[in-house]
Amino acid sequence: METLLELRNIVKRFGDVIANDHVNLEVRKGEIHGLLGENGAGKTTLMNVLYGIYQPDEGEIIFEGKKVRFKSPKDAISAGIGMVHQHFMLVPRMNVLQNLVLGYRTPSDPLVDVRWVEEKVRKLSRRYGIDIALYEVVMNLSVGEEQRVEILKALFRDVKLLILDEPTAVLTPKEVETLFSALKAMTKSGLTIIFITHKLKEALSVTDRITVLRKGKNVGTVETKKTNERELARMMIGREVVMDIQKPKIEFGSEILKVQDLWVKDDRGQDAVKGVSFSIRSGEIFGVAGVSGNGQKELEEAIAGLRKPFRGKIALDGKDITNLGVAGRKDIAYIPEDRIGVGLAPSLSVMENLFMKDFKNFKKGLTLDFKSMEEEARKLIEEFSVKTPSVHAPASTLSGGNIQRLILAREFSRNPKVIIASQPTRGLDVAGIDYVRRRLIESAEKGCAVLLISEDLDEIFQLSDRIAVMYEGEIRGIIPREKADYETVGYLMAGGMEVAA
Amino acid sequence: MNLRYLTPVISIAASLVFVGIMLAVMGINPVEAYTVMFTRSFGSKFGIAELFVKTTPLILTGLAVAIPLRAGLWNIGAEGQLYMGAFAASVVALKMPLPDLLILPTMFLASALMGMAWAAIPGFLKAKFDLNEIISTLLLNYVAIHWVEYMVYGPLRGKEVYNFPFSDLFSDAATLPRFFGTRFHFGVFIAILIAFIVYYILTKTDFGFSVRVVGANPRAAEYAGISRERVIIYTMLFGGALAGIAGMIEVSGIQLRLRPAISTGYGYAGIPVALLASGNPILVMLSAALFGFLYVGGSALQTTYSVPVAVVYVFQALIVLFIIGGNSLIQRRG
Amino acid sequence: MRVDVEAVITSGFIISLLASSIRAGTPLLFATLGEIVTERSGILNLGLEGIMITGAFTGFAVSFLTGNPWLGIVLAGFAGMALAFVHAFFSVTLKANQSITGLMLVLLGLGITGFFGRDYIGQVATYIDPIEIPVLSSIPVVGEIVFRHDPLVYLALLLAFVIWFLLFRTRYGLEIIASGENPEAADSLGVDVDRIRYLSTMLGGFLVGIGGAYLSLAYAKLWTEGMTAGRGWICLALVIFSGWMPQRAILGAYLFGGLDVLSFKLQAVGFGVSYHLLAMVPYVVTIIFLLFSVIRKREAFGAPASLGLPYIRGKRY
Repeated sequence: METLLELRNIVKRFGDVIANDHVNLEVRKGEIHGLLGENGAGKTTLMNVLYGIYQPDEGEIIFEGKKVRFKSPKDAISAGIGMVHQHFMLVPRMNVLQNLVLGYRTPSDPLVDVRWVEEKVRKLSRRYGIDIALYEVVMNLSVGEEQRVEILKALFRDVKLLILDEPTAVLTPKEVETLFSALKAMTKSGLTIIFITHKLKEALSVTDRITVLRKGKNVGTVETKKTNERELARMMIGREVVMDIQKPKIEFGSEILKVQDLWVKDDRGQDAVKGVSFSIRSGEIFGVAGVSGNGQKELEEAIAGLRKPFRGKIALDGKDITNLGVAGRKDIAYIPEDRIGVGLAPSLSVMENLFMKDFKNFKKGLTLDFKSMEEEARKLIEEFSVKTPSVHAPASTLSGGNIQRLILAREFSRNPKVIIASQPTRGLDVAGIDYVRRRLIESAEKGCAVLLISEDLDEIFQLSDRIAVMYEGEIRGIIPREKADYETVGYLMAGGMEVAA
Repeated sequence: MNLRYLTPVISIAASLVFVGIMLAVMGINPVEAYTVMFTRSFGSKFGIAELFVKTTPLILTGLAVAIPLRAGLWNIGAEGQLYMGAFAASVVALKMPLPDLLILPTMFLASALMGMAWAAIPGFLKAKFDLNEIISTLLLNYVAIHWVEYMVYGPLRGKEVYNFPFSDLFSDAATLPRFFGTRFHFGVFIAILIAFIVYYILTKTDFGFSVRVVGANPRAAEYAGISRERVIIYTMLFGGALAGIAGMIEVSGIQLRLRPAISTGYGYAGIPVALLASGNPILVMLSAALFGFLYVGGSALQTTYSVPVAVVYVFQALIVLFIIGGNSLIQRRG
Repeated sequence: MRVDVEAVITSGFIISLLASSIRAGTPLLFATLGEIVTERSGILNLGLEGIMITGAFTGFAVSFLTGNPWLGIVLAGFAGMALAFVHAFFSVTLKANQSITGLMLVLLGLGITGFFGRDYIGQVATYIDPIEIPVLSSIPVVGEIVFRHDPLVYLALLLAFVIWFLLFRTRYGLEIIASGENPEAADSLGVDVDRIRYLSTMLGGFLVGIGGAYLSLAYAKLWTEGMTAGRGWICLALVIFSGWMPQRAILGAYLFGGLDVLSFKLQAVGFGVSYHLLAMVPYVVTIIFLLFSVIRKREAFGAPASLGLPYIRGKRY
């Protein structure tokens, strides 16, 4: 097979951080080439360099035998490269057709030739089996549909190479299957695909060859048929064992958190949580699995006191707390999914972030006692090993893992009875993931009731005592860990109805 | 060499050059004009007294902008709050039969409360309905100015003012003491004292802490159980009170009566004053002094060359724009 | 103290009120349309007041010096564009805080025009006069209200539809809207977001400048310092009120034009309330309208999602 694309010795630095360190990549025509690596291994950066979003500091790109330089995505597109980003690049308030045709010159340019677009999309749909309603406004689409629009956007521009960045992160298992068969059909029609992922199973099931990146360097390229999960994991992580946390047996105590028939609306005023009920006991970790956007955010915010439910009851230790605000729920710790946007004030110092919730405890007369606040802060950053030059450094200067440690330090030091942990390890490196999970288990041992909300099934299975699956605002079954398997949970996540236990 | 401290200097110099060109276009020798500005401000005790007198309202309006700005809010309404404060103080001075000793304190309180009330409207609308505070505070300025005009053309028009739209002169007990045979008045001390109090409140108290968190990330504030709504309303009230006090000081220290146009844009000048000081109450005094100089110099230009005072606005805008430009150039290089 | 009801009707009070509402609303319409284009691209230009006053002065001065009011209108547009360019430079190239730059443009516009405008106060320039559209203007009532205005009134109306067409039917429009909603998405499809934002801001400034010139050359027919009297700010509110839709700006502009003239007209017929109190009405009503617009919050009529946010390609968080 001939080579379509070659990246040679690509180097990309951000300040002192080197994101791509002399990376080489060779992609053959008509293959699905997997780009595998952990979060932060430099996969997305490499593809953004290829797509013209970043300029490489060193190295060259050879596409279709010619040396190219893409100053912007525009150049990449006109050369025949399309990219579907992890975070979709759609304009929610425009309809599908407008999103497709954005930046494209139809024959009647500058007017938009709607008939021409319709005709072209019809042909593409027939060829690749992708079907989509052209006049639906994007914000009304499901995530799977949005992804189809993204792929169609690339096909619409007649790309030869399509880059997919973590395309399955937001999909249900069923949608993943549909995507994979569509991708295979596309390569049969001559398209070449680069498939970015950090999931071994996916890389093995859909690709022809796999290149592994680790800490910005490339580890090697292997043929999918000739490799296995073990080898890939070793290449990706650099050591044999992936994760080794043994959860000890913890005696459950009394019922701490009780949620009864809870109904919550989302920002748009739609019902997002529809009659959810569960309870968590002291020492128990209750895992909520499910694809993001099925009401998890609204559920956790309602329990944390950030969002008012319009029906139902939340009780803590037998006391009704439904109508209390955040300040009235001091016993609930909350590790939010959006750590930088919600959990942190990045421009404020580490100390100020540590005591964002409890600064009033330092009140001495009219003023705050900043001296003892500083002492406390020093203790906390030591206890939680937050790496920072000083307690006065702005939180924005910390790395992702240290930001999460800072939040843990704040939340866990308040001796909570309930911990809500939402996607607590997303975007962290192996050491960070390990640390967070151990801390969660430790808290349960101390008698906390833990509500773990995660998209990561491995995490859910590793930590939870009981597993609930959330789908479209409802809990579709609560299964004890020992009776649960990936298949059942995956089935429920995709909207399957409760199975008879 | 630290570029950060150099930018303001270069910006001020560049603004002087730019305005110099404007003066030259009008047929005025810029070097002469600037000499006039300096000698009038620093050449006599009267000039120096004027510097203080013009700096005083700017300190207060600068703080009126700076405090809400620390919570991420734009109070463009200091001008209107100043007018309403002046109005309330005037009502006390003219209409309330009080013992002499109580008049000034009552005026002070009334102006602060009125300024607060005026700022409460946009503050409340922002907190409850997320109504853009820039537009609402600004529109209320026009309402306040028309209100004062209505008062001096109507209910508060004096008996001995012929046909001018003025109130009667305040009694001596309702005017701030003056010193050195100049217009330097007691209000100067009030403003400086207030600046230190504001500094203390913003940096040392739990209220100041909440304001910092809301200003840095409102969503994090809500997450931490700090009421964003309360901080919005309180900072607006705080700012409004200070602008109201500025109004009281203007009528009882300078004008000695209520009349239209008691402020030559002091409320608007509060914006560049606050920005130049990056919201720091102590630095506000410095930047207010700079703009105070521009005001004194501006009126010197007016009396000497009949150049409209509007030239001061040009200075204000250019200094801020040059500083923003300079800072972003530094960021790009570093 | 009583309003003479009969006089109100016989003097054609209503007719003349409606006719002058349209005239008073025209500068608002120009400026609102301009700001809609600007904001649709994601740039918040708070400097309308400063740009409008600059337009008003430039138009007046050019007409005074050359005797050609139309040249005044065009150059006022370019003056507005020049100020808007400054805003675009700070917002797009320097990625500065757009609120600050906008506010400084207000001071700059008021300052420069106050400075150079001194010698023009009380002068008489050549103005733009109404035309009577043949046949249509002789229709009773309607003719008087609608068909006896100066050409700019009709141009503004036409512009509302041209801009609607530009935004919703052309590639440029999609690129403008996408730049304001999700610049990253636009950029990923090869749209030059910076260029779009520059051009939209400058086109916006051009229209705002014309709106200002309309004030001095066709509506008030004089030049005074600070004559825009907060109209720029009212237009910012009108943009929100119109839900960033050009066609909806027409109604808002004429409505507020009506409020503007109402106080004068009421005084003329002996309405017994102080002029100073009536003069507050437009500002108060603007705030009330604004309140309704934000309470009614509907996704379809909301602000562009990236309004006021600088776009930096590939920004790392």
